[in-house]
Amino acid sequence: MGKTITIAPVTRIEGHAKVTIELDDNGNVDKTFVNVVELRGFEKFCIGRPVEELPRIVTSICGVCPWHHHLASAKANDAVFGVTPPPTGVKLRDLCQSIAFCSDKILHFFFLAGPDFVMGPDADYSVRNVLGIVGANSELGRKVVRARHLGTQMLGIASGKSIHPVTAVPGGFSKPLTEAERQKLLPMAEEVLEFVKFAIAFAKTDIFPNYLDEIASIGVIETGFLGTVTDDGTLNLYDGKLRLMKPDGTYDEFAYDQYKDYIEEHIEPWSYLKFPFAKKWGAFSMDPDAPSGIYRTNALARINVADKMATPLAQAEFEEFREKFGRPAQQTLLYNYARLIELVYNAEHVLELLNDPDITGKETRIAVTPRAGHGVGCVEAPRGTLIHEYQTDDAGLVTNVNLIVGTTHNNAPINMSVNQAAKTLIKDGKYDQGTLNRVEMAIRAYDPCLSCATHKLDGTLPVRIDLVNKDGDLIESITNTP
Amino acid sequence: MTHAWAEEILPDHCAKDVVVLCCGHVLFGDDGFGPAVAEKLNADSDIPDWATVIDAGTAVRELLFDMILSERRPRLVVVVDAVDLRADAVDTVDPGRKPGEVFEIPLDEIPRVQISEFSLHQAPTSNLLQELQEVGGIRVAVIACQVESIPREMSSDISPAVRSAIDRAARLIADTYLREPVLAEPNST
Repeated sequence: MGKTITIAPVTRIEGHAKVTIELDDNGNVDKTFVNVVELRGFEKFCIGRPVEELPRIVTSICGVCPWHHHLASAKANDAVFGVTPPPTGVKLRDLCQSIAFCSDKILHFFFLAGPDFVMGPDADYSVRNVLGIVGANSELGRKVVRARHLGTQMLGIASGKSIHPVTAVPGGFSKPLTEAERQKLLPMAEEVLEFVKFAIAFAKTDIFPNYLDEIASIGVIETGFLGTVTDDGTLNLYDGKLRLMKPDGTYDEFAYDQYKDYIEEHIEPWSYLKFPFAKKWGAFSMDPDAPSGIYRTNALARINVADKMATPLAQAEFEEFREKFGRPAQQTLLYNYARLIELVYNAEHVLELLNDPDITGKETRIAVTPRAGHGVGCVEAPRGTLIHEYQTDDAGLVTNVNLIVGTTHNNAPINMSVNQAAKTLIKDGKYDQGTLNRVEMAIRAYDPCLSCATHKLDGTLPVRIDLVNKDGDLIESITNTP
Repeated sequence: MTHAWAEEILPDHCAKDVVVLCCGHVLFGDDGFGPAVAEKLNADSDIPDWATVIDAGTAVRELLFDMILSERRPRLVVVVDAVDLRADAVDTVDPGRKPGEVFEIPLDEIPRVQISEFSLHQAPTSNLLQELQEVGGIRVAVIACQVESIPREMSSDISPAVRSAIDRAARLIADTYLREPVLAEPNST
């Protein structure tokens, strides 16, 4: 008799994200379904509002990526108003984005994903967490939290507020950086870079080599990739053009406002969340043996689509990664490695910007005038390519809004990775806590918004597997929460 | 090279003795209760220099991670949050709350298994808060307000019942936690 296993995170911001695994009569995985968070009603909420309010409003969408929504919205505003911010305004936005990226990636690697690798996926959940890392290596714990403190302070100095940013405005940035502030930021940025160099060296020496089997097997699927590059193919997280790469490495490039010519959103009856796919590649399909139109975003995608990195240390790491794993690399757990390469880039880029004479310029914004307009703003957020599209009437009030957030782009790939992980790990009806942990690892590698469901200080994604029979009777339930 | 200015870089949520963390999603109706209380306290109350009131929004997880690992930690964290503990909604530890009712939830009275029903969003659940206390040595108080409802789609409208509770909650928090410094526990670091 076939059985259904449901993995259900026990807290959610607005509804539940859950994983359902259906077994066939032999106890092997037949189908899997993953539902992730979606933003119900945001578009309707924005209609009729002055478009210049959106950069402030969107910071409330998600407490994890406020800066990136803030910047994507500011850029969409620039496009709606038909303006180009002055160089100083652009660089201040870029500076804050990179600082925010650093803090985010430190959080994800050490607090969320890292414990799987440092303590091991078979370790008891009580130690497979950031406190376990501290217990095993207190010096590492101190370095991690100090780097986080530095990031918080740096954002506060650069923008006036580290939580709920308000300083990116249509036409630029509302707060110039003084020379005194720049001098305060420089040693902080240097220290963050030192920590970041330590972090990636630590990961390459002490962590990743112990998990090559897992990297090669868990959640591995074949997809295309989406990221942002400059005209010469350099990765850029703030601005550029979109590069949509096929699994064979060939690609299309297009401007932000052309995204609908390449990306369409598929609907499945069992999910509120849509499934973006590359429509020029053929019809949408998540069939693991014949996927079609599927692409990924976020760190691994960006490292795959880029020809090079803009800063020297990151470029060296990038070359080493590509030498080992090729292009495009498809192993899902490599997201964690790619994330560290981006961390190096962001730490270097912060210093680059702080040493740029424009960064303390006085002209940070230009005036805008309400008008009927249409604009697409896009940045690379930690969780993937973030697209904000707005339309306004003559009074500058919003008439239409469309967002595609990073996790949404990855909706289909997350489903496919879970399918692959479950099929690899669950055989003949056999599964255990270690199985559950490894399925979690496949999900957590994407750093999806459902990671925000973490309610435990240890950073574990709270999951429960319910095994039910065809009549819906609960046969067994296992969970990683007490 | 590590600079010596360790104290200087400490964010307020680690540096202050008393940290009031107001949690909530301002785009989901009554779930915006916490941020509204933060706004009220910061605007109208005299916050002493040993305390801070933070509108944590939906980013509280990050603040708590930093707090638990920091060498310098608060002595008391007050979590302010909207909850749904109506008798007909969930099987709760304290059924029968009315919309707009403000009450303290003793941390040790919340069964760990009730985690999925405790909060409406990604605010810290009982497990996390108990760990903060047990592992981090930080006293935790939870001030909650019973919601009237939470909209299924985004809306910034707070119900009249909960809106009327904002001032009451702010006064309660100011009177209870922001008048006198919190002394260190014996044998605490």
